[in-house]
Amino acid sequence: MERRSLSATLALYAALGLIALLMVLPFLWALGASFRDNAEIFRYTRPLSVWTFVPRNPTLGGFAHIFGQDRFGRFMANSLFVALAVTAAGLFVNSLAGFGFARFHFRGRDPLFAAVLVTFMVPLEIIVIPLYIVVRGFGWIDSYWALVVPAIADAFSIFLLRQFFQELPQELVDAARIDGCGWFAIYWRIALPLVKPALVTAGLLAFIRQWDSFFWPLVATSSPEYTVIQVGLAKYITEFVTFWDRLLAGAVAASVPVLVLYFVLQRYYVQGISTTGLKT
Amino acid sequence: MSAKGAARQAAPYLFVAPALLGLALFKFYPIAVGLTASFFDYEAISGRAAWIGLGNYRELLADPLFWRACWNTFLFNAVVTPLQVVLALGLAVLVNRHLPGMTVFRSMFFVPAVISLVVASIIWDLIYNPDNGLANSLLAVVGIPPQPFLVSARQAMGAVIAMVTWKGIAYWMVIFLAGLHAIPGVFREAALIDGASSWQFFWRVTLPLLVRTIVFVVVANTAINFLLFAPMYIMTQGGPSDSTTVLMFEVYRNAFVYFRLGYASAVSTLLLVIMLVVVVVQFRVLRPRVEY
Repeated sequence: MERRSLSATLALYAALGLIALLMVLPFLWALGASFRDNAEIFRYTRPLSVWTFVPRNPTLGGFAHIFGQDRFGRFMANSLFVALAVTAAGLFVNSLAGFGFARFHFRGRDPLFAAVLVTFMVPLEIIVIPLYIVVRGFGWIDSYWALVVPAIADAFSIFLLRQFFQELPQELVDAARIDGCGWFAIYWRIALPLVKPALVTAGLLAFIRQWDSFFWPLVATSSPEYTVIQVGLAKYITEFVTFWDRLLAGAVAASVPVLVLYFVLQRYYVQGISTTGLKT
Repeated sequence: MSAKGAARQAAPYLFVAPALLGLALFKFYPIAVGLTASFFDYEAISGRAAWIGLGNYRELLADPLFWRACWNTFLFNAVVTPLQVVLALGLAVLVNRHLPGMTVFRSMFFVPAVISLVVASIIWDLIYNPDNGLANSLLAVVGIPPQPFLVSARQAMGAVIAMVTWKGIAYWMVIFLAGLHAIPGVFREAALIDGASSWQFFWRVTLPLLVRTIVFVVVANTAINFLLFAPMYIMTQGGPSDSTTVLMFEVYRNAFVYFRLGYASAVSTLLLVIMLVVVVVQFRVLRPRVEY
């Protein structure tokens, strides 16, 4: 461990503190403001004081309105349903493929896996118009189908799970084969339970990606029945520009699930992002 | 071949089939459709398409708004990507020490990365409020007069850039941290024994060893920033006077506001070509020269 003078350490902490403040201040302001009356949102911003961030007359009015009169409850339920459906179906489908690519030698395996990796490099935004044309062809526009089905198969999950399945000892598989286990039983009863950390990471990233997804739901759905939370929020700001209290209440409500997930499962989250970087 | 033998042969394909089917239908097929869509003129209501060859491209290249969007996209990327990469790397080096409280700082840094881009855009939209926004009251503390931010054609792009930079740093910081952890600790000890300063160590050892990670971050970040859409949709709608209209916003507006799918596909295709050229250049310039 290197030695460091006290003043250098203090300077480091001061720098870290200042950066941390810059990073959290915008959300803290929004959090405080979401408990204000609309007329008070901008009242205490200048000059800067503690009341800039702490609501002077806290109220739940914004939250009451968006969940009462507006349909934010429905939007959040839609997001939750879509995110859970994509995550559950995705974990199953992608772990099957990850297992297949990791534990079998078969004709065409390597080119097929290369094809999987290619899709990882094709961002949704680039194919959003043709995807819209394809999904419209299925008659799925403005339905849950459009939101869930195209998102299930995912190259990153396949890649991550394949890595973990590859590391399982071959003896384990051989022993199960000798005991007369079929391949599906080996996958379901032996391999899957052993790669739980990878499942948590892949599932967490899939859930958050769906919860945050905006561009595709914006173009693929239009009626309130299928509006997800991010689209609901974005439309709110363009349609009701001056109801800041409701807008911020919605923004805070939309952030709570991901913030909770992040702080509870931080380790898996960070691991997932690091894996993305090591993929090269 | 016995029935059991056939089942064994089929097993691997059954495992990978569902995922491959999904990728084929919703990734590869759209890519193929996308390659051809730009040569068609789509009727807005019926969706019927008529082949018009290079018609969309001819129209596009004659449209001043397209060139404006190209310039804006270039400007946005030329600032955001280097800014994010340098700040993220600096932050990673800063928090990559074993000091008490470091995990708390890292968690706080990560808050912008955890909230969604839509939420971040909404919050900053209000922070940039020219009359009473938080940004102007912070500027007032250091004696700077109120700024118009998003309502000014001169400042809007800069304001969006600041928000996007703030939102993205921590994500790339995590990847840099993983890269830093992969550098063997003995390198640091050896350098310190040789009497190298921390600054020298960073320039001569850390940076060269981190080139792979840097290349990945630069390329991945470029792809994301080229395709950024939500901040413009929420904060500026491409304005004021098209000062924040980037190519992706043009794609959206043409496809889903004017329902000109063919024309939008042409913009999308050119966006992809420009992006690929930039990425190839980045690979060439940053190609790793050190192996370890």
